[in-house]
Parts: sequence; structure tokens; C-alpha cells
Amino acid sequence: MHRYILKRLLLVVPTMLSVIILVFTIMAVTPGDPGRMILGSSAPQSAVDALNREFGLHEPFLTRLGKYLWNVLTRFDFGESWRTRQSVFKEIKVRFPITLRLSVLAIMGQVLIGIPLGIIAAVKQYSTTDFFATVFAMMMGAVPGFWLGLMLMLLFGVKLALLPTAGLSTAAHYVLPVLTMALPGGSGLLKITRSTMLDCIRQDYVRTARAKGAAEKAVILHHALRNALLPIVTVVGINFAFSLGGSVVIENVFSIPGIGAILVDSIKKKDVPQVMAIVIIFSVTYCLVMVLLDIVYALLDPRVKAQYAEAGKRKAKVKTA
Amino acid sequence: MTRVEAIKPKRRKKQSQIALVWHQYKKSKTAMFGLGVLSVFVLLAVFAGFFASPESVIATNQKARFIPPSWGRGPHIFGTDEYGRDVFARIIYGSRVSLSIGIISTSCAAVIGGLLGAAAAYYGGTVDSIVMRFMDVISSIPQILLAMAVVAALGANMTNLLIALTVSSIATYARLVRSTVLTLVEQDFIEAARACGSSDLRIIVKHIIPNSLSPIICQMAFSSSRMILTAASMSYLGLGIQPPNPEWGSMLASAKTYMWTYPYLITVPGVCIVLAALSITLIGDGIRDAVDPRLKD
Repeated sequence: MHRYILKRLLLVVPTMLSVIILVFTIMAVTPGDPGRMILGSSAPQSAVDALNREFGLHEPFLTRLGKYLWNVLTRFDFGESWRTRQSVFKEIKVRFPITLRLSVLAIMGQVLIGIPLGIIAAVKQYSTTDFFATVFAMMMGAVPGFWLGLMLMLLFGVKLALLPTAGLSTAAHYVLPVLTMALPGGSGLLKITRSTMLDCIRQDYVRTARAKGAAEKAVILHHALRNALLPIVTVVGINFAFSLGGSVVIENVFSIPGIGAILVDSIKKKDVPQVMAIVIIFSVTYCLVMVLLDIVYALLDPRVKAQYAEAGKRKAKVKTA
Repeated sequence: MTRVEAIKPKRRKKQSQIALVWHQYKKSKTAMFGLGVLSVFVLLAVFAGFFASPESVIATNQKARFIPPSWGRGPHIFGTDEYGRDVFARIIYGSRVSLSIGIISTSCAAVIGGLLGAAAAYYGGTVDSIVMRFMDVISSIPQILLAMAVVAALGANMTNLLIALTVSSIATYARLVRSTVLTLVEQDFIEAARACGSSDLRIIVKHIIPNSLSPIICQMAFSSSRMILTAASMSYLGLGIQPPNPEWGSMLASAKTYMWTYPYLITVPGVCIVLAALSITLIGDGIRDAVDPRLKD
């Protein structure tokens, strides 16, 4: 099992290298004049050219890519932002934890909303609860996150004047952004929980458990839910990746000093090193979550675990032979 | 004479697959609701010229700022915005943008991703691993971030937004088509067709394409509603359609400043986004249920 985890972690490295090359290429082969963007349209052409030279833009693409990769791999140096002339990590260090915290809270909210409602909807199929849960899931799936945020602000911040709507200074400030991120994702989780639970409840082993006289609660939670968990966990993982990306928009709505604001700003100003660093940090997080997901699979499903154990044994045998 | 008739095989009316699916689709009320709502949007988008001229949705009119919605008992059904432009006219012109973004980016992604996936499945080996590893790389960047990076590189306008959205969802289709084709090729009826002497072309056109179409169409319905939402988010951040062009997301962005005093400016475009995305999702659900052989009577 440890070997498997290590292998999965090592596989992240080539993926990250490809992500770096891909994003660098996208940023490099396309038109745009960073020097002009920073200095403004009234600056003299000579100053713009000098600045572009300073950024190394006069060098051929492969040289630039090679230098970037070299710096990243040997010195873990992602360069400095073209706008602020400071290390790209200076701002990321302060802002990324905020974004991460928001996403983690949002995922917890999604799990708390989606899974219990999904189980209830499945257990009481065609009941009023099921109807409302399904309609809620359908509506929330079609709501753009930022608009939901605006509407919640309007309702709780203005009409009811219960909650603050901008910034993150107190715990109450977290309620609306987290709710905004948790509701749409939670609806997806609700749908998948409901449909997999409906499948599992009809299985023979659930009937067997009932026939043995197990309590209804135990039947649902231990026999049905345990088997329905794999697809649910998958959706939780995918939703986490989505909420990292989505937080960029939500942060804008609630004026949260997360990573979203500098990302949008750097994109508009074509600040390549800053955009690269942010995209890379998001992708690393995403890949690590996927590795975690695979490990959770193995922990949850004895079949998956056995598969790895067997593969390990087979390899060991080949080696000794 | 009677004997001849008896021997003659009874001609069964051959129904096309589309007719069968439609027969099944009609039974679902929610799916029909989705189709109805989407038709209204499409009609409004197509005939937008009858309601307002393209110039009037951009031209400002300082005298008519912030007229509240009349809800049908006056000239401005949804009121006017901060530049005195009619919100209803901007909504219907915005529906042109949103719907075409949804349709075009989804079709492009489906065609490109589908071809890549089919090639991967057909050639196998090296081609398969190269294409699929590349798709893994693309999908290890969160979709909205990839779209943002593309827009960052190309600049913010409608064409680039379309490219960004297309690129960021190619991987889904490549995977879907690859797995569908791989499972189909193994099926007995393909083997049977080959045994009957069907050519490769006939197998592809008559068997593989019709059978792999339904999962792709369902996926297209879901992703076009996602595309509409993503496009609105991008425009909201200022990375998509630029003001003063009418687009639901950028209308929301400019209305945010006035939302406390004129809440209708954010409710109306938002409700439109929700209705458009919801109706397409419902249609997708309807098609999925209609093509599901387990649900056939």
C-alpha cells in the first residue's frame, strides 16, 4: 500500500511538468505586449522595449521555457511578478490559505447538505421530502455561483440585515461565501447520493441484511451507504477541485482577499509569472486531492485494496524468482 | 391468393430511432417544460430584431435611467439600467450571445474531443497513450482556470471566450468517446456485422455512430448548460464579453454597483441564466431517460 501511495505521488511530477509546459506555451505563443500593458499606452516605445527585454521576451521561446523549467526544478524559483517586481509567492503565501480555507469549508458544507439529504431522498423515494430535495438539486445545479452569492447578499445582508456581506474579518463573514459555494456543489452531491443509494438499496445484500433482522438504520448506513460511498467520494473530490476554481469568482462577489483577485488582475495585465505560479499551485492541489481520492478508494473498498496488495505480491514474486 | 398473403412477411412499420426517442421523451413533463422554456429563449434570440434594434441596446439615454420594471403594463417590461437602456432588449440580445456560446463551444468541444477520443480508441497503442496523457494534463487544471489562462493569453472577447471554453472541455469528450467506442467494438453485434461481410465504413456509419451518439448527446446537453454558466462567470469577472455588449454575466457585473437600490437589475438577468441552464439540463435528463433501454416499455 505504501509503495502504491509513493508511486501515485511520483506520478504527479510528470503531470505537473506537462501542466507547466502547456500553460507556459499558451501564454507565450499568443499575442500580447506585457511591457505595453504595464507602462500604459502613452509610454514611449523605447521604454516598452527595454522592459520587455528585461523580462527576457527577446529570447526565443524554447530558451525561455528551458530557463523557466530550470529555475523551477533546481531552485524552486518561480520568478517574480512583472507588476509588483516581488517574488510571486509573496502574495500567494498570504492569499492562498484564505482560498484554501474557504474551499475546505465549502466542501464540508456540501457534504453536510448533500449526503444526508440524498440518503433521505433515496430511502423515502417519491415522498414529499424526495420531491423537494430533487427540485432543490435541479434548481441549484443551474444557478451560477456568483449570482447566488449576490442574491444571498441581498436577502441576508440587506432585507434581513443579519449577516455581513464583504470581507472575512469574523466568523459571521464566512457564512454567506461558504453557503454560496456549498449549495450548488451540495446539490450535485445530493443527486449522486440519491441515485447510488437507490441502486444499493435494491441489492440482494440489503435484502439479506433486512432478513437477518438488522435494524433499519444499520441496514441503510452500514450495508447500503458503505457500498454507495465510492461514487459519492469521487464527486466530493471533483467538487473540491471545482470549488478551488469557483472560489475565484465568489471571492470577487464578497470582496474576499483570496487568490482570485490577483489572478484576475494578473490575467488582465498579462503578468505571466504570477499567472503561471497560481495555475501551478491550483493544479498541484488538484493532483494531490486526486491522489488522496485514490487512497480513500483503497481504504473504503476492500476489493480495490486487494487489487493493489495482489499486484505488489506478484511483483515481489517476480523479483525473487 | 390467401396463401400468398399469408406467406408474405408482415411489414412492420419501421420507426426511426429519433421517432422512438421522441415518443419516450414526450412522456416526461419536466423534459417538455425544459424544451418549452428553451424554445421561448431561442425564438426571442432569433427574432430579437423585432423587439429592439441592435443599436438601441448599446446606446445610452441619460433621461431614462433606472425606470423600474412595468411587468407588462408599460414600455419597459424589466425596467432600464444605469445608462437608460431597456433591460428586456438587453436580455434578449444577451440570450443570442449566451445560447450561441453554449451551442458553439459544446459542438466544437464534442467534435474535436470526439475525433481525438475515436482516434485514440481506433489506433490504440502509442497514439492512445499520447492523446489520453495529454487529456490528463488538460484536465488536471481546473476548468475555469484553464479557460482564464487561455483568455489571459489571447485577450478578452467573444471568439477567445469560445476557444477557452472549448479547450477546457475537450478532455471530457475524448474520454467519453474513447470508452464508448472501446466497449462497442467488443460487442457481439459488431462481430456479427463483420461476419456478414459489412465493410469498415458500413460498420462505423450504421453501427458505431448511432450507438455511441446517445451518451454524447446527453453529455452535450449537460455541458452546454455548464458552458452558459461558466461564460456568465467569466463575463462577470470581465474576462468574457466586454461591456457595453449585452451579455447576462456582464450585465450582472455592471449592475452589482446598484444592486442595493435597484435589485431588479440583478434578479432579472440572473433568473434568465438559471432558466436557460435549467431548461437545457432538463432536456438532457429527458433525452437520457428516453434513450435508456431499461426504461422502455
